[in-house]
Amino acid sequence: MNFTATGESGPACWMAICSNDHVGSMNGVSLSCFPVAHLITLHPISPLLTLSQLLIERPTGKASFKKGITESDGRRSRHETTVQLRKSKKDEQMKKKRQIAGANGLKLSSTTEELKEDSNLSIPQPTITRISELMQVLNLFFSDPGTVPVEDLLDAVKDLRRLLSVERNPPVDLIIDAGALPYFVAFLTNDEYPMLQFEAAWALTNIASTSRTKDVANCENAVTSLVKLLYSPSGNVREQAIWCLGNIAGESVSFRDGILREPGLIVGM
Amino acid sequence: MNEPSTASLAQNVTWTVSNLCRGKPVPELNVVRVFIEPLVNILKLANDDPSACESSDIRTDTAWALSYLSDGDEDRIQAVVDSDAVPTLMKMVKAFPSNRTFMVPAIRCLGNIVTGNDTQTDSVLRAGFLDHAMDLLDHQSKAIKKDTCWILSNIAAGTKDQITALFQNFESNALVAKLVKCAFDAPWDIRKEAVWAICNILTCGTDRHMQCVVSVNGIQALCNVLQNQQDATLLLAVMDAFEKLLDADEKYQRNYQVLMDECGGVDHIEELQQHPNNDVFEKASNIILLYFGEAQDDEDQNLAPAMEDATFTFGMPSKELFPTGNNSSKVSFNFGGSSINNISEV
Repeated sequence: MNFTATGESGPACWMAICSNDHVGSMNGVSLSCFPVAHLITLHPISPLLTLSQLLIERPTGKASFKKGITESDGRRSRHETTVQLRKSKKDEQMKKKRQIAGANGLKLSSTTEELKEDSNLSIPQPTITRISELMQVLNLFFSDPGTVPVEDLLDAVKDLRRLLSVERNPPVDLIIDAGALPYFVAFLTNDEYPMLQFEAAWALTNIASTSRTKDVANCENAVTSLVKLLYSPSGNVREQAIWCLGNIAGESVSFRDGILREPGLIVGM
Repeated sequence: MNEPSTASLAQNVTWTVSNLCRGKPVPELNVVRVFIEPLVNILKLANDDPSACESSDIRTDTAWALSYLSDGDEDRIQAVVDSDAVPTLMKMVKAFPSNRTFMVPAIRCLGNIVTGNDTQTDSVLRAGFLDHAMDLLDHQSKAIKKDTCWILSNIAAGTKDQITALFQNFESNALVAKLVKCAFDAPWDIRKEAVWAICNILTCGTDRHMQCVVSVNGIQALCNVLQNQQDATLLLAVMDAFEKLLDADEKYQRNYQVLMDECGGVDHIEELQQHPNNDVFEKASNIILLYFGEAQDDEDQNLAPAMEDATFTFGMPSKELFPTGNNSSKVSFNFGGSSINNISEV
């Protein structure tokens, strides 16, 4: 997909946008854009399932003894946690969401009002409205690219990403229902605009860290595009892609295997 | 992975790789084995810079990834062993013993390796695991204590030399004494593993190993365990170990039988003749029959097992094994579908 940029929206403009933002530089040095708190204990310790312990075969050189323990060796393996158990912990441990560093609320562009932090589960109307506005920009861009300057597009994607980065109750469902996912995935392929790739990957990472991982994983070309980003010249983009893939891999064994099968994954990693 | 440009990138990549290696069924070895060496290299690098706060996460995630990769058959274990993971992990076990988040997967990984063959187990011993075993058994973390006992139990299922290593080449019983202590009074999860370790030493070890275990009160610990009738596999392991002891007793007149009796072991085994699990009650009966079924006095002469026509009647030693009357229905020995006192040879 190609952008048609207006005269003012050349690369120089992109860098200016970068430096005003939280996002950090593009030279691979990570700054404040990474989450302050990491969820590290990703892996619950499973209780040993004694009665189903595997008894490993001893090599046939020595046979006769072990009655009562096993017909051969006394060695016992251990069963790891099942996928099912891991799934139940996934929101806490398996996935990490990127947040705006230190942010407890939103910082939007000056054209919108400041949103209050929401303590209940419903999304406030201003957010709903805002999402709708932002999606209009994206929709317009895809239907008639010439009419939307790239910087506006980038701003819109950034704002969506910010909405998805709030700590409590990000409007994930709303944004998915509004049709943003295929757009984000499409933006992953815009090699001429790494900032856009970065923002899209960030947004997808956060969605993939919630219960809606499947929506991301099942989106056509999502995994393929993310794996291609492993080869991006931009360190931030590569890192964000890796992160998103990690969230998807943690969702299920089949997604894990889907990623492992993707051509270019191993080398890219 | 080969040259992460930032610590943050290294952190993300190790975390994602760990997710790619995780889960059952395990991913194909041929696909993921290529991650092993880079993981070990990252671990080495993180080791060199322990002050960086991301290092801790990197070490932890890398250790988890290696623990997933080593979880499986000997081929997988070999792939991990070949990569120099064992000495690298041990180096960090030495350096950061109190860092629980790292230690848990590191010990788990070493434990997986020790479920492999003798050579693979040797790699863990050569890296000096046993030098730290005493401390690990005292670790704050229950999971680490448990896994350490598990590792020792698997070493104890190895070669005679490997078992001798548990006794520091017979220079010290301290480690085994500590295992016995765990077998006495640790929380059940840990206790089970320690019991396995002792049983394996007795069953797989030499006579000298056996004497050492007995000298540190191993018999009492095992006898106590028989009271807990939940875990059939464990009961069988203990009884196997007892059979070994009793065989040795017959050969060498060591009074193990007397010891077992004094420790309450015989009583417990008698009770196990009523255990719902077939294997358990059969074994318990066999033991009583073979080692404790001798007539004590004249009255009991005719109660001694008489083997005729491939059946034998089961006598009553001085203690009431088979309550007659009301409770007789509880005691059912259906080895061959026969009634209580007429049991076909198993």
